[in-house]
This record gives sequence, structure tokens and C-alpha cells, in this order.
Amino acid sequence: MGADAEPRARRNEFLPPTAFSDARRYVLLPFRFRHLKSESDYTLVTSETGEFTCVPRDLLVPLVAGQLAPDSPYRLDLEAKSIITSDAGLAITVRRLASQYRARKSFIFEGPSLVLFVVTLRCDHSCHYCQVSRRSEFAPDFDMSEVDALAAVDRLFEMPAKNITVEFQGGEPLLAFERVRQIVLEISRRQASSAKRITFSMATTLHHATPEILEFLKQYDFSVSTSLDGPPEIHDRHRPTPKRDSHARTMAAIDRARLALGACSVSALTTITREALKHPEAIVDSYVAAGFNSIFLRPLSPFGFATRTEGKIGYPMKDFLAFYARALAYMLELNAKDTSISEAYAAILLTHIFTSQSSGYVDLRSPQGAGSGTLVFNYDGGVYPSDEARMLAETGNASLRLGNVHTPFDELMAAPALRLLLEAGIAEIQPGCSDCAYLPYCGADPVATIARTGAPIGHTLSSAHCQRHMGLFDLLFDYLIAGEARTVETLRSWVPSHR
Amino acid sequence: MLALHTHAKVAGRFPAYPLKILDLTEALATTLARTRVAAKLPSGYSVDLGALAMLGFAGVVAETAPGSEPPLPVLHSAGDPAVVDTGDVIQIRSGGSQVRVLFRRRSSSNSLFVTERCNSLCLMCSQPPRETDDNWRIDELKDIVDLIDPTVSTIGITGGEPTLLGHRLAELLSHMHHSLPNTQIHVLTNGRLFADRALVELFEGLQGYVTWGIPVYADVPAVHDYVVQAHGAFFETLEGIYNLAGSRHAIEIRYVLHKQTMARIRQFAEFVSRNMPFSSHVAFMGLEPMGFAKMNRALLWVDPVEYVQDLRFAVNWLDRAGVPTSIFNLPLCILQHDLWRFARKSISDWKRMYLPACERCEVRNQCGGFFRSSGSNWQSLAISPVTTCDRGNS
Amino acid sequence: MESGPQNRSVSRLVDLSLVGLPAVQRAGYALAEHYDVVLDRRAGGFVELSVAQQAGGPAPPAAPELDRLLLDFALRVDIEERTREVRSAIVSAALRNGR
Repeated sequence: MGADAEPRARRNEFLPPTAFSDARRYVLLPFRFRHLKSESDYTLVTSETGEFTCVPRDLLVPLVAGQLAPDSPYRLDLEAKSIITSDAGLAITVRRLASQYRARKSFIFEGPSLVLFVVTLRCDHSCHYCQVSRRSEFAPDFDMSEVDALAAVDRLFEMPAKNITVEFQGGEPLLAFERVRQIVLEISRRQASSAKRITFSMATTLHHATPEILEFLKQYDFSVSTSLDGPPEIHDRHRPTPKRDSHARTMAAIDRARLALGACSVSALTTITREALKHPEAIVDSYVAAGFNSIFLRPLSPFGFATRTEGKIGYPMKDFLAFYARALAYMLELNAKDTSISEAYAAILLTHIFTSQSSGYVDLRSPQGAGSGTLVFNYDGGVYPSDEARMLAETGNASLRLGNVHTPFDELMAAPALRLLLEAGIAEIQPGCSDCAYLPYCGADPVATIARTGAPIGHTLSSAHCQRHMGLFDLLFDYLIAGEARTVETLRSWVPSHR
Repeated sequence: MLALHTHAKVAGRFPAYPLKILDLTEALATTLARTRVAAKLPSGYSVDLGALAMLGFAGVVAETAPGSEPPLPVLHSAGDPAVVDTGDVIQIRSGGSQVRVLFRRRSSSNSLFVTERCNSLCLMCSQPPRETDDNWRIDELKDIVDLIDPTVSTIGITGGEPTLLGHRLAELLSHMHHSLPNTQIHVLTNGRLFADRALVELFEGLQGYVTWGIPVYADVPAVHDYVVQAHGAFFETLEGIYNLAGSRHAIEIRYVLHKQTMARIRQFAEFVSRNMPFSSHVAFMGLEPMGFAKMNRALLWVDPVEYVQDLRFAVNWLDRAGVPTSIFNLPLCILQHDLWRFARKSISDWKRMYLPACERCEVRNQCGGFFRSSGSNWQSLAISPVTTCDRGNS
Repeated sequence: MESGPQNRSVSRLVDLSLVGLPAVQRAGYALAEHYDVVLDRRAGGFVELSVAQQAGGPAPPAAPELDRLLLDFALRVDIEERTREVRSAIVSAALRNGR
């Protein structure tokens, strides 16, 4: 190397670019492709680790056949994005792809990192789409017992993960606040002598958050998430309370919670019903007006009461996608005028697209995350791999119950139900998924498939899970490939910063 | 703006090895061997030079010539007296009158030059390499290190390509870490030889004290290899980076901005965020018009305003990805306002200047200025003083 | 071959030496999202792919589009085969110890 450089240095002779650009021959790296609808002459190609670029559609066949022209304008991007490499570069390219791959899959070594405590099924709301099968506020026997709660905490400390999020759910968890308090105190007491870092969160209407409760939540750094479906007409329509004032009470409760916990600790999400589909801009506007910079547009879940009321409030996934496209376009317009508003699910997908880091979202990964990434401790002491699996049991199918809170963690992880889910939950080998260009960013959902069909592997491409994600990825990539630089920057800025 | 050398007169004969200049008070109290110290005298010759000679000092530094033949060597009448100040380490060329400054206490950017040899030949190299046996430098540098204040926060290691020295480089760095345990060492290297893990092993134990500043000029080999004029350099550098990172060494990625690298700035940012997220720092650097850069001006010079939009995209991209990012060697007036927080005063004080236009600039003190070597044909047309009404706009 | 407006269907006779069986199967699987799909072996290394409209569903794609779909899946199988070793190397290295 030195010998080469030195004589030229003496002659001050510099070689032209052609001396360094490559031969005809290149090595193909594993990749997947999808034809773009928006620019039908182009095809999106994604590497094994989720790097992406696009090429003219008719370049694909020669590319795979090894006949890409040395001076093709697409060659550099294909090389940079790990679609092709040279013989000389193969070893280091495998190495850096392995590094990306490991980062994407490193969650495998963690085990469950999200633990849900369903402390009660009691609730004072009777939302038409409720996925929980809640019970009335005063019903007996639907609260988690002290014995079960403490056993669940034992299970928590048997988990290998260092960073764990504990989320309280219900029904309405604040109706069982004393149990919540007890669990938090017990965890905090034991956390002091463990290496774990445990953070707390809660999904709640906030209507029952007294100053004392808010003080407690603040003390333990809770993040709270509440339901806000949009402006009052939309919110109150499907979230009836005895006085039909859910929206007003929710807004007031959000204000109090922000004051006590800080605005960053209070987030909200929507549940989109058929009626709401007509009002994407109004829903986004209501969030901006309420001072939120993030909105989660959540489609109806096929579980719980929602299946019963599907006739009235349900809709095909393509309708949700049309709604979402309008909402997203509107949000991007707002961002262009310096109003910060992001869509929370897009942010998760964009994290998967742009980084190899874990988004922390366990429901979209391969191998699937139910049980392996999440555990649910139910009010009755049952342990489930996900909230949806718990719901399935409520409606009569308990096949996914892993055990109970008194079963040691290792046994829970060895439950046949979990094995069933994992075997069906590797997207890389599922028909339909294995070919999909979006595979690196997506995941399998065997729980939903079991709910729908009774078997863990269904026809992947027809599932609501697939339709939703294909639609969302198509929409996002449309912007990423064909959108203005400013739009790309905005979408990139939605990925949580790792500073 | 102080030069690294000056001319002076010498009465008597100074030793050829590096010397520490200390004012009298500090000199009398120092723990350094006095044979390596030259005491800086206050004005006039009120001090008993005979006593200083008996104490064993190597010599003294005075403003004016001594009246009679002094009992120990005197360096006086320096062309620019500010160049040689207390705390500095100097070397007086034997017989000649040139005084080289090897370490400057007041400078924030001291570097040790370890070799002229290099295994690359960058188009814009500011220190064109020479094939020569300069192993002797390490021994001299160890002497200099002994005289450096242990309170200094950072010392640079430059060349040429420092890793060509192999175990001798490790020897120097270990010596530095031993003498200056609180000092961070910043080594500029192309990283290519670190493709051999055995070389990385030589630096075991220095993690946390050394940062390796490694240039990467593109996300693809064709561009990078062309800029550094070496086949296979991109892949070797990446292997080296991975080997270093695998041994938990700190790595800074450096990207020089010019006509040959401007086309893929954005892609480069994405490449770094995906493939080298462990980088401790990324520096985007304006071009220094020294060495080969001057003869290759036609290949390299582009007005920075032409790439500043892409630069902004890239900087924001990496910042969002959690990689600490900086902009070096570009003046504030040509950067969008929201990039100012990334701009550093990176040009070494002894290389830095400001232009007449900068007189009226309200952010002159914040700005890193220009290379003294940059004539008007290396300056952006967009240079202009920043005034209050400008600062309202992005 | 088209039959009746209410129950349209399209068929292609696929030469397995050009588009291998795995590719035909995958194409059939993808088509099964919206259509009724039948695969029938025929003599001489051919397979007949029949794509029929479902009740209330969309009309099947025209023959040229079906051909393009088959070629796409043939391409995917080709990519997988050519990159099998590299993919294996990447995943093994990742699970062994990344960097």
C-alpha cells in the first residue's frame, strides 16, 4: 500500500475515478422487492436488514442475472443499501449486515420486557368497542387479589430483562388503585437491590385521578395513556358514561394530569369507529387543540365487545387505510406550517424502517412478541402472552393461557401455548411474509390468527394485520420515495430521538 | 494566530533536545529536571544568571541581549516574543536561530506529528506524505511528552499515517497515558491497518483515553477509494472501524466536504446511522487549502453554499439518530441558523484568521473563522457579516 | 379461457422449466387473497393455474398481468437461491456475536 502511494506521491500523479470504480462483476445480496403503485415504473427493493432504495422495474431481471451495467446510475445506491456488493467487499459487508441484523433481533436475548397488570375488569364506561369485556363499576370478584399481585411481582423479578415496563390496565385500573399502589410499592422495594430498571405506565380514563392519586403517579414517574377519540361528538358517541360527558371529563382530567405529571408523561390515543372515518382532519385538529404533539390513530380491534358491535361500528381495513391516508396527509401539511404533530404508529413503523434499534413495540416483531416480549397478569391470576390472548379467554377460548401467577417463570416460558405461537410467529418462514419487501420492519401475529380462524397460521395476506401493515407501509414508502425532502425530514423526525 | 516558530538570537549554545519554558517562579518550583527547563526572565537582567547556571537550568529566555558573556545560554530578541511563552515546549535548531514550538500551553489544539509516511494519498491531503525512515520521531516525542502539562485536556496525534508505526505508536500512546493520565488522546488515522485485529490488540487498555479520528468519504468504495487514491481502502477502513469498535474503542468519523464528496452527503449520513451507530462523534469538515488540495483545486473546490442544504439534512439525520455531530471549518455566515449549534471553532488558533468583512460581524467571537491559507479563490461568495436583522431569519 | 360474466376466470398454462413449481405455488398463495385459485398438473412438465372471481370479489387479473406476477415470483425464488449462502452467513454471524 505504501509502496504504491509513494512513487505516485513523488510524481504527484493522481488516478482518475475510473481507476477505482468497479468491474462488471458483483455479488447479489439477499433482498426483497415490491412494485410501487405510485410510480408504477419503479420497484422498491429492501435488503435483508431493511435498507431500502428503488430501481426501475425493468432493471430487476438483469440485476438478478448479474447483468447490471457497470455505469448504471443505480449501482452506487444498490451497493450502499446492501443489495449488491463486490467480491472484495463481501466479507466486510456480511460483517456489517450481521451487526445490523443482530441489533434488530437483539430483543430475543431479553425475554419479556413489557408486563401488563390487569388489576380489575371493573369500569364506569361502557364503550361500544371495548376490547376488554369490562364489568360494571361495582361488580364483585373482578379485582386482582393481594396474593396474586404479590406472586406476579415474584414472576417479574424472575425475568431476565434489565429494562422492564410495567403497565397497569383494566377495566379502569384507578378503580383498584389500592392494589396498584401495593404493587408499585412492592416492586420499588425490591428494585432497589436488583439491577433492573423498571418504569411504570397506566392506561386509564383518568376520570378517577384524585390529587392524591396524581401525587402518587408523579412520585413513581408514571406515564399515562388515555382515550380521546376526537372532538366531543365523536368521543362521546361510542364512549357513554351515565351523564354522557366523557369528553369534557377527559379533557379536564388531562389538564389535571399534565399539571401534576408534566405534559410529556400524558399521552392519548383514539379508537377509530365507522363514524370517525369521515372526520380525519377534525380528529387531528382536536388533538392539536388539546395540546398534544402525538396522536395514535388506532383501528378497531377485532376482540372483545367490538366483535359484537362490529355491524354498527366496524369497517373493512381498506376504509381505515383511506381514512389514515387523509389524516397523514393533513398532519404533514400541519408540520409544513410548523405545527408539531406526529402519528404514533407511523413513528413505530418509521423507527423500524430507518433504524435497527428496537422501537420498544413488542407487537410488531419477528419472532412474534406475545409471551416472548410481553406477559399479562390477569385479575384472576391467569398469565397470558398478550392482552389479545387474554381477551380470547374471556370469550371462551383459553388455549393461550400460559399458566397462573404462581407458576415459576421458566415454566411459563416453556408452556406449549407459547411454543405454538413462536413456531407460527417467525415471519421469515411464513408464506406471504417471506417474500414481502416489508418483512424486515414487520412481524407475524399468530394470536390474531387464532382468534380469527382457530389456527395459528392462516392466510397471511388476507389478515387484517397484513392488510393494515401493507397499507401503512405502502403509504409511508410512497412519501419516502416520491415525496419532497422536507416531508422525508418530517417523517424521519418522528422516530424518537436517541440523544 | 500565533505561528509555530519564530527566529531569535542565541548567546551560548542550547542543548538540541526539547526544552520547557517556565517563568522564573514556576521554574524554581518545578519537579521537571532543570536540565530540560529554560527559565523565562522578567524584563531587564536583575536575576543572578550564575545562580541559575549553578541550579542546572538549560538556559534562560530574555527579551534583550545579555550585556556580557552569560554563564548559561540565553535565547533573546525573538522575532515574535509572544510565540515563546511560559509553559511552552520548544526546540532550538542547533546553530540556527529558528525556535520551533512543540507544545503551547495556551493553545487548545496541540498535536504531535509522528510520521511523514502514509499508505493513502488523499486528493486533498494537507500534509503530503514522504517515504522516509522517521522512526526517530517517537523517541523525540516521548521527550516532549515528558514536558507537557498534565492538566492539558487533549493532545492530537497526526501524520502521515500514525498506525504505520505499529507497536511504536502503542509505545508512544502508553507513555502519554502514563505521563498525562488525565489527558484525552485524539489520533488521526485512516484506520486501514486496523483491519488486522493484532494491531488493535496493541492498544488494549487505552480504551477511554484515546479516540480514533477516521475519515470516511462516502457510503460506497468507488468514491472513497478515489478520494484516498487507494484500492480497497474503504473496505479496509470499515474492517478497521469494526475491529476497533469490537474492542470498545472510541471512534470519530470525519468527512471532508468538497466537490468529490458533496454528491452523497445525505446517503453518507444514513450509512453511518445504520452501520456505525456506535460512533462517538461525526465531524463534517470544510476543506483546508493546504498541500495537495492546492494543486487539486479544480477537482475539489466548490462553494460551500452548494452543499449546505444537503449538509443540513445529514447533520439533522445523525443528530436524530443520537450520534454527536459537529461541523468544522465552516464560518457561521454560510450556515443556516439552526446549524450553528453544531459548528465548532475547529481551526487551530495558530492557523486561524478572520476577514476584513468579519469586522462588523456580530457573531465573530462564536465563529471558527478561516484557514490562514485560504485566499479569495477558496472563500465562499456568501461570506458576509451577520447582523441583528439577519439573525431573525433561518 | 373466460366463462360467463358472473363467474370470470383466467387460466395460464405454466411451463415449469421456465417458472418452477415453488414460484407457481407462491403466486397462487398471493392470488388466494382475492380469488379462488386452482393448480392442476398437466402433461409434459406443465401446470395450469386457474384464477377465478369470488362472489362479491374483484375480477381476476388479465393474462399478461398474471404472467408478470408469475415471473416476479420466479425472480424471488431465484434471488433466494442465489443468496442462500450469504443470508445464512449473515444470520449465523449475527447470532454468534454480531460485529
